[in-house]
Parts: sequence; structure tokens; C-alpha cells
Amino acid sequence: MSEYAQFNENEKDCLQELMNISYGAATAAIADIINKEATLSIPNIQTVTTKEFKDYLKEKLLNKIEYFITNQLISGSFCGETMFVIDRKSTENLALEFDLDEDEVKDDDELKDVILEISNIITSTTLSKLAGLIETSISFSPPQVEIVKNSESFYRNYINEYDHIIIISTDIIFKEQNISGELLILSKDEATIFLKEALNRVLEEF
Amino acid sequence: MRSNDTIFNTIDNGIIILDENLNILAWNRWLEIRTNILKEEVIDKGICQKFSYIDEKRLKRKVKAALVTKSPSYYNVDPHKYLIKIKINSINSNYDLMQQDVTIVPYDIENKIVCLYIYDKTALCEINSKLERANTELVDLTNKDYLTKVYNRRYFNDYSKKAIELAKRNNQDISVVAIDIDRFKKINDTFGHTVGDEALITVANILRSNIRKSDIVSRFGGEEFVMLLNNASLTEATVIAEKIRVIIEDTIIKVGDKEIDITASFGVATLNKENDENISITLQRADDLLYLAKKHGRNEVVNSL
Repeated sequence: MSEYAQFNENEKDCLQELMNISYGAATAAIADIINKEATLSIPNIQTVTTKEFKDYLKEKLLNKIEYFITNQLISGSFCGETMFVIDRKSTENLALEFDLDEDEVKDDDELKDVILEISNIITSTTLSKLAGLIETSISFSPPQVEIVKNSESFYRNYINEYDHIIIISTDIIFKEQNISGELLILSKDEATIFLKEALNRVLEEF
Repeated sequence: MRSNDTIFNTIDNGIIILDENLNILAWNRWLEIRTNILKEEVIDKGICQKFSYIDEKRLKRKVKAALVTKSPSYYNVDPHKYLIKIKINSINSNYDLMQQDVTIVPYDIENKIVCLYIYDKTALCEINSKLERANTELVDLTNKDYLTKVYNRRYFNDYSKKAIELAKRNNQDISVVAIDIDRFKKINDTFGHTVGDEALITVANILRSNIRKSDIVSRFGGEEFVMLLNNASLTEATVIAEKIRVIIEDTIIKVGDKEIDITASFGVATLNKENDENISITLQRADDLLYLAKKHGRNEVVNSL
């Protein structure tokens, strides 16, 4: 990764703060829409190479566990992709939070709908807020979902999409329920450079 | 305003405008043509009252999501198939109803009004299902025996490695059953290869339909098959083998006015976990036991020397 696409400590702190504000908007939206209280952990920001991203995913996606993974493209100056990763057990618990009954929770199509909805709410709210804070406009493509049973084939298909990647990850945790999912925001070098410049403008203002 | 109306009624998508209580405020020409329902019949009516198959709770939530997040929410074709039932009149389509993606966007946030864009995704779904079918066929061609449609030896070798790892981790038994059709050469020589093939297919079907979903059967070549039975002790595997032996013994293959009796011999071995045995050794033991069954006079299950 080029030097210029790396975040320094000040930029990382600033981005973490902006993401915290953005996630606040997401949790408020979830509370409003489904009347449930969710918390989002403090975002962890990493800049990684393609190989490191593969290792990161390998560590995340445990064998013998099925995951629901959504992808949503972001267009605009800060372009890239979001990825929401959640295991089947958490997905089923989340579906119960969405008031699905026991039979519906066994139906993969119903579960996919829940995951698409929650990841869209989190993604659109968080990133729209972030875009507003750094004074840019973005739009989203409809999210896609897949059930990943074999993590090896997933990495193979995915890795070619990005040369260099920044990962902004956070856990979403619902109170009183065992639900934990991770939101990843992936962007290429050009978008990272745009973001760095925007962060530096924010830093100059304060 | 005039040009807006023109766009609204000439665009190649369905457009519905809804208030937060899901009452229809607008219904474009695209929908009128495809549903045969005129706007006068639906305006100011609740969409879920007019189309009772729509899940009201879910649609309300998605409308609310669009209004709260001020961003689009989606009714994806993948889980939902469609929002409004629209019949497909193509004789080439595998679908009776149009497959739809629906995007719900905020239209007037202050008055809590949203706009629904309906996209026809049927052609894309057709292509996807064709690709899925082609992919399944390719996987079958790679992993399965062309004649009998049970797994081939290559797949057995790959699968057995993973199954053994899992069995060791969960401290479970795993057993191998080697099967050989008795006097198969005589069947081929007497009745011809077509009848021989029929015998192979019949036995393969019997094996496949008498094991659990977690087990596999494969053709190792000629008239020899091997079953891998997960979480099965030697006794349990022997019971399964004996049951299958009896079914094959009771099966008659009819060729024209002739009836052909078939039998098979079985060798059963369980992986020895204590000696850290690999699958080749277990397989060799099952083969040796199968040889013994043949020596004893065939149509027999042997599980120890």
C-alpha cells in the first residue's frame, strides 16, 4: 500500500470519532424502526494489503459455521463496499428480534430478508452520516446476500475485487440477545486518499 | 409537471407512491398494463387490502426504514420473489409470476410519503437458474460416476479425508463397507453389457437409498462400490450392510421375458482411531474382508478376519 494511503494516528483518531457519531445515528435508526436497543462497539480501523485481508477473513470465518454475508456498493467520492458478516445463530436470534416466529426462523429466505434489512439500515445510516460530516455525497446499490458454507470459495471470489483495503469494523450487539455481527467498510486507495484529505480538513477546523 | 407525468407513465418500471399507512397515492401506466388494474381501482386504497398476499408488517417496516434513514430500503427478489403478482405470459419462462426487485425511496419526508420502484428481474432470474443448473451438472460430472450417478473414487478420497478429521475431532466411529456384485462377469457374458449396466445402476440405487444423508456411496470401478458411514460403529455398519445385502438378494432385474437374480458380497471395517489409521488402510481391510466373503461362497457380509 502506498504511504499516502495509510492513516496516521491523528487521522485514525478523527475517523474513529466520526464513525462513533455515525454509528450513533445507526443505533437511533434501529431503535426507531424495530423498537430494539442495539449497541455498536468502538470501530476498529486497520489498513491492510490483499493478503492480510484474506488472513483477516480466514480468522473471522470459522470452519463448520455458516455465515450470512451481505455486500453493498457505495458510489461517490468515498466509494467502496460494505460487508456485514453474521453467523447463523446470531441471524436466528436477530430474526426473533424482528418478531419472526419459530417456523420463519428456520426459513433461509426469511433470514436473508432480515439480514438485508438490518445491514441496509446500518450501512445507509452510518455512511450517510459520515458522508455528511466530511461534506460529500454518496449513494448505495441494493445489498446482496449470500450464505457462506465454504469460506475458502468465498475468499477466492472476493479477493480479486480490491487491491488495497481499509477495514473499519465494528460489532453490533443487541441487548438481552446473543447477537453479534461485524460491519466492514472496504475502500480502494483513491477513496482512502479522498477520505484522508477530508479528515485533514476536519482536523484543521478543530 | 407535464413532463413528469410523461416520465411517470412511460418509464419501463412499476411506480407506486404510498403514504405511511400504505395507502396508494399513485399507480403508473406500467402497472396498469401488466396487472390489468387501472389506477382508479387502487388510488386511496390500502395496498395490503387490495393485494392481501403482501405482508403488511414487513412492508410498513421497510417504508419506515426509508423514512427514518432517509435512504432507500429494499424488497429484494432473492427472498421475496415479488411484491405485486404479475403473470408472465412467455412460453419460454420457468416462472409463472414476474420476479421483482423493489426499491423504496423517501418521496416526501415531511408528509411521510414514499415511492416504490418495481424492477422486472425475471430474465435475470432465468439466467441465474440456468447457470445454477449448469454448475450443478458440472459438479456432478466432476464428482459422480457417469453411469450409476453415485460418487466417483476421486470424490470419495477427498470427502473421506474431511470426514475422518471430523470423526477424530468428535471422537466418533467411521466405517467403510466394500461391496462387489457377485458373478458380475457372468451376467455381462450371458446377457450383454446393457443388462450388466442395468445391474450396476440397480445396485447403486439400492445403496444410495439405504444410507443416511451424512453417508456417501461411490463406485470404485467395475462392479465394486464403497460406502463411507459416518458416526457408525462396526456393529452398526454391519447391520446396515446386512440389510442392504438382503434387499439386493430380493431384487430381480427383468430383461424382456427373463428375470435375473443378483447378489453382492460385503466387507466391513471401522477406522482404528487409536492407531491413527488412515483411510487407505481401513479400505484395504474392508477389501480383504470382502475377499473373504467371496471365498466363503458370496452373498455374505464379513466384518472380521
